[in-house]
Amino acid sequence: MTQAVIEIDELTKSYRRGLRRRTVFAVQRLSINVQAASIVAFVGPNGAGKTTTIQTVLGLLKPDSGTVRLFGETTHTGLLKRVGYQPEVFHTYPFYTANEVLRYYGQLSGMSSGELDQAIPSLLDRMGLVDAADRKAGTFSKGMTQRLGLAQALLHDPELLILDEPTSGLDPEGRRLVLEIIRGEKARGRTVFLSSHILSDVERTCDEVFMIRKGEIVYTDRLSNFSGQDQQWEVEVLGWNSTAREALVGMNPTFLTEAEERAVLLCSGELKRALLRRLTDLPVEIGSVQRHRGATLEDVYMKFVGRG
Amino acid sequence: MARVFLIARNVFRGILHRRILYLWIAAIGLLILRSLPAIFFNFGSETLQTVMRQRAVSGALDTWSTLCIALAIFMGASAIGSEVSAKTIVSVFARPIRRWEFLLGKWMGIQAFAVLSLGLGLLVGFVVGSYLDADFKYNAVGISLSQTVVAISLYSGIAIALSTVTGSGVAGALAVILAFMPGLVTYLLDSSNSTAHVAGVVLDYAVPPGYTSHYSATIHAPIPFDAFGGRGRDNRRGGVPPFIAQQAPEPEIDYNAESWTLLKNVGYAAVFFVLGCFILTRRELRLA
Repeated sequence: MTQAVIEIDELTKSYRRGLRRRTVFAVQRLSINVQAASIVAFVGPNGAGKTTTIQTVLGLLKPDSGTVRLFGETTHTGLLKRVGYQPEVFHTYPFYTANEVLRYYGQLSGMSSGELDQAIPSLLDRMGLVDAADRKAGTFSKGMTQRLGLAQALLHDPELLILDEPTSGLDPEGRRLVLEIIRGEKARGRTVFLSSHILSDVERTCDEVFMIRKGEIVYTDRLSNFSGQDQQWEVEVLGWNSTAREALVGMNPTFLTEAEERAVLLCSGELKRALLRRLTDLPVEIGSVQRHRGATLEDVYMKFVGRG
Repeated sequence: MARVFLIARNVFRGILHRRILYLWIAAIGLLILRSLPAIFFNFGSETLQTVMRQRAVSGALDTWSTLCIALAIFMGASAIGSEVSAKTIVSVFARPIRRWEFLLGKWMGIQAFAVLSLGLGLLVGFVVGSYLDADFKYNAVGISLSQTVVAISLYSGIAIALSTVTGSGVAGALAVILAFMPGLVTYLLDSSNSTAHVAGVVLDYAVPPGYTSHYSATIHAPIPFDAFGGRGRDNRRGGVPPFIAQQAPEPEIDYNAESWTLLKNVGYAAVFFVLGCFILTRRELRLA
């Protein structure tokens, strides 16, 4: 069994707001387990409690109740060496150049000068920031700042990456680059915990999704259960009869519709080929073959989170 | 300690970026204004004019030292607040850095800048003083310099500690109030009213002895009253101009008492700073 990198158990966090110090719950009885070497998405609207949860994991906020464990231990400063964090908007010192920003954060993470000399140029190259290496961070565009933020999170080669809206403010090229990097990190055995609004990014990149609404987890599932991952096909057969049914018994397709003279079969990509070969030998006609559109992440989001 | 020095260096860069040099220029302008009468007025006596210029140098050193302490308070009060408002603190605290390391780095950076400013001011003072053939009393220079450095340390430490629990403005204001409190404490202690006296005794424990300037004793420049026909400070017959007659005589310094005060100030600085570290370690980092 793989080790849980982040274990959040029954986390509750509240704030006091306004003159009457009214208690507002940012997160309530939230439980999440993030397994090693996976990409897990944390999805929800603004103010749902995503950033509060992330900041509690990092030890910046203290929980009212519940526990947060990183790598099997209660969060403490020493563990942060194994974590890379990119905030939703990366704010840095405007008087540093990109090079100096990375050097500063790298040194804070305990990297030596030699390690930094090696890591920084290749990371800037990977982020497409080589030309801006000696430019002051204060002059960077929003997209460049976001990429610099991701670079500082990756710099010390952390085992766990916590990314808060990593693709917000990026152009399509930048978004693609970031998603490729995230997938690359997973391929290297790293764990990525990301919060995002962009469901298509989540669908394309993540293994598991947690949907949060008003501080509570309302839905969780593995992304492979959605249509985008293991593509299913719909095959419409006209002139459907008992002979055709018997001929397909061993193949076990799922029947979406079965009526007289017409059936719609659901099958995987592999089964589709064999099914079509078999059907061409039978006295039936293939009406259509199309991708099956199951419930998308967006459908699920609208169902569980989207309602006011 | 590497992280502490890193933070200190970052503070230094940040101060320069915030164009603190403009404050320096303003302070130098203030000093020149303060010294204008001594530099340009002819007092009718070459000897007297030289003495007045020498006294202007010690006065300028006094003002400059006070400005360096004020600068340290200002920077200390905004040490945490500026990082929180710029939201740069999140990326720092997401690193394996302890809060006390962060605070110590901030304190060191601020002190380094304030002491450097003080050093530059003193250097200029020495150069100008030497040009005017000033007779520097090095014991007085030593104790004055120590007092200022410790005051920078003390009040920037207090401002930083206060900034862990309150905003920059309030932290700065409270630190300034604390700097003026020793006078009030002495007044209360000397009071015949028993309530006031008790309040004074309590405050005496809470309030550090603070900063006493001795720069007026750093240059030996007695007023040459002989130049006015030997009438001493008597200006009734029009010999000695009133503002010269009112010049303070050179003060005597009790070096033992001053050394003890220095030590007490160092102790208070340490206590306040440790308190600040304790609070920041326990404090949540909530950004707006």
